[in-house]
Amino acid sequence: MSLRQRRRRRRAPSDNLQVITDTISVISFPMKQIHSTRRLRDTERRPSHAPGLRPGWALALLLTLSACGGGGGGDSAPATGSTAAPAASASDPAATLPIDGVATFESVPSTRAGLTYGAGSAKPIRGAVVEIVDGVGATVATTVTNATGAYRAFVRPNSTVSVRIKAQTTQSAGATAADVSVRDNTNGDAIYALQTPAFDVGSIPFVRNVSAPSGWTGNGYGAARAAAPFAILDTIYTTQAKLLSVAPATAFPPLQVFWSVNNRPAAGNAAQGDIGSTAFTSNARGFAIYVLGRENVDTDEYDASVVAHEWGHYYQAAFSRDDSIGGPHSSNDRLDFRVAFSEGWGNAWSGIALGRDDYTDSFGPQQAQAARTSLSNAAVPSPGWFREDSIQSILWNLNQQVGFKGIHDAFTGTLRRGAAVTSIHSFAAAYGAASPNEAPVLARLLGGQAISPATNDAFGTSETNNGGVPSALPLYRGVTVGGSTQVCVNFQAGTGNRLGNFAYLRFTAPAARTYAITATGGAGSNPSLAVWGAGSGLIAASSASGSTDSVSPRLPAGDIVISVNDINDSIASPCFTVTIQ
Amino acid sequence: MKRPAAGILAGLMLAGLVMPLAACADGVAPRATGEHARTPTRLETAPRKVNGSGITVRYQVPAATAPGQTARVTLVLDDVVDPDGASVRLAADGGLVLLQDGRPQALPAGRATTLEVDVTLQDAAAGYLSVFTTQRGVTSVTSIRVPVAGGTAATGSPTRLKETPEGEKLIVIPVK
Repeated sequence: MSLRQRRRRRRAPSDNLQVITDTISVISFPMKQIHSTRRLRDTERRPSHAPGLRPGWALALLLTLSACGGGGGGDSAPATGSTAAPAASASDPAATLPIDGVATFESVPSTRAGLTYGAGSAKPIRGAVVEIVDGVGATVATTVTNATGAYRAFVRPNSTVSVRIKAQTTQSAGATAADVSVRDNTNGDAIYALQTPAFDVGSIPFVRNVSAPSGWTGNGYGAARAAAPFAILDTIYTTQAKLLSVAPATAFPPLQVFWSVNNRPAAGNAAQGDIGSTAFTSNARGFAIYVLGRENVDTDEYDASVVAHEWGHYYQAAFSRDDSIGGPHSSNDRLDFRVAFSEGWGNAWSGIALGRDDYTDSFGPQQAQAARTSLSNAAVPSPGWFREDSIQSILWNLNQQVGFKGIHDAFTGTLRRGAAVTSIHSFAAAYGAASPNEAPVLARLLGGQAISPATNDAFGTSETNNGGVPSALPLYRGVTVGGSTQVCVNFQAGTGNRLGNFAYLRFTAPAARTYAITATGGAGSNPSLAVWGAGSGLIAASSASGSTDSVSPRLPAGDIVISVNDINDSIASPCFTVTIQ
Repeated sequence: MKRPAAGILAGLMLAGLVMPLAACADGVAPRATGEHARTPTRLETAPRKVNGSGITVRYQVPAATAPGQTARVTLVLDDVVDPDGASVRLAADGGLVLLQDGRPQALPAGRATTLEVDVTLQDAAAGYLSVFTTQRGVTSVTSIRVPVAGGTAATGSPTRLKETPEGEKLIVIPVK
């Protein structure tokens, strides 16, 4: 789904107004309007606990919404800016009795010593869906918690209800709220929810707080891990808030998060908990993040760095472009530059969003071990454009020195639209175009990592660091329409997704038409092709078996990029002749 | 995939340079790969976590093992680039019981290490062998599923699964 399509899904102000005008039954409005209603509710809350005030409140709300209609959205308050308890929907006119409450979860710090349960604290469950359900489980009122975890709902006096807090935020909570849900992949993808026992509400207003404990009982999880889904939701809420701080009108595509106490770092069937690792996925079903949860092996619900890293991949896929092929990687590896950029960005983003200078990941018996990575460290061994540590250092320090706005503008600018694949070079060019005044800061950071400091060179033509793999430069080799050129790949740095595994070519398509692109290798080789175009992203890819591969896409006029790799990895340094007709 | 590592491994195996597990807690003698006729014919590569040790874990497990019977898991640990070497520790998870000592043992730099690990499975659910690898002070863990003949892995608690009148599936966690 393109960004343009996603944005179309946002409601027009008139739509929201219509809903309110019709019934007052569904509070569905942009966050700007929630912000505007805050003053109203603050003043109303003092006398409001008397039944019967709600119609007046609704009228005032309607007037407030009308006053806000038609705004450009630039002054919209992000979701985190709201501190008033959002009011519940209530189509039942007899539902006049307010229930107020605060929803919290037990947050366990993830430190370099692992999870420190003794330092746990209650944090608000922010932006979550609250449902008031009756004795048979039917929903009688719906609202959302605000930035302090507060909610308000209206029910019938003397009725019997339960309060349910779902590990879900929804688009209807406001234009800037994302549709995010935390689900159990080992249990029918069901959404996690806290639920109180049923209680009689009586006839006077009262408070019903809800808290989710971690379930830790001293040396293990001896009780339900109620807080876990909400800890994940909270990290995502925080990452969204960081993006909203520079792009308040952002509309988030839906995101499903899958967590289970059975989620292990094992290959296999995700429905059985074998998810491989905490990871982001993007496919025809949409965007998803799988999160580990197996006690004494690896749990990530409190490892905010890990969750935020994966959300960084969501960000790049949803709002920018990510050409990474993924695969195994670590700080030790010299990587294909698409992979290095994507993973380095994920790490940097975790620190940018969470306000941290390190990345921690707990695991092991009682979650008492941890891996820690410094994000600020610029002393990367053998640095370069192929090192994820170099990328994370550059991006984290860039944010530290000049803020996130320019980074976001680069991601959503020419990085997304250019022909060059996503790498630190194409990012630098996009940054230079979007934030020319801050570009010298980026140039210094690039130079500090032995990367070409040019901030106007998306194809890295001035790059001189080959990472010990001579064939890695130039980054893109020229080829002409009607001609051919030879490129070689190699496995000096490893296989699959490493530096030198892919060769890149570029040419200028003189006109929009169908082009025949062929790569031919020697015996035993198995070339694979991919083609990108300016403004088009990935246009074509092929992985046919045999020593020749070809594609015949219709290409736009302008810059075109081709990648070639050898699927077999069976020849030390296979070479391919690439022709374009 | 992993052609260079496989080449190293083949050379090491020919030279008998594979490493058995350390002393066994239950008295089962550690055995070097060379003592067994079986050579792994196809190794699966275990998932690697972001920002982990960087060590590649490949493995082979029997297709299915009856509860109570011994199964042998073959591990090949590669990509030890730190000149000081790395280490591995094993742990049982789920219905799996380690028949050998899982305490940490060293992995030499620059070459693959093969381990053969004997385990049993206690019940009808799958068991998991957790492999903790540490390099340059960074540890990561991967789990290897050892399937039970006719068994299925445990999944979430069905008692908490509710379907609302609106048709939505929820895992309802009671709270006070």
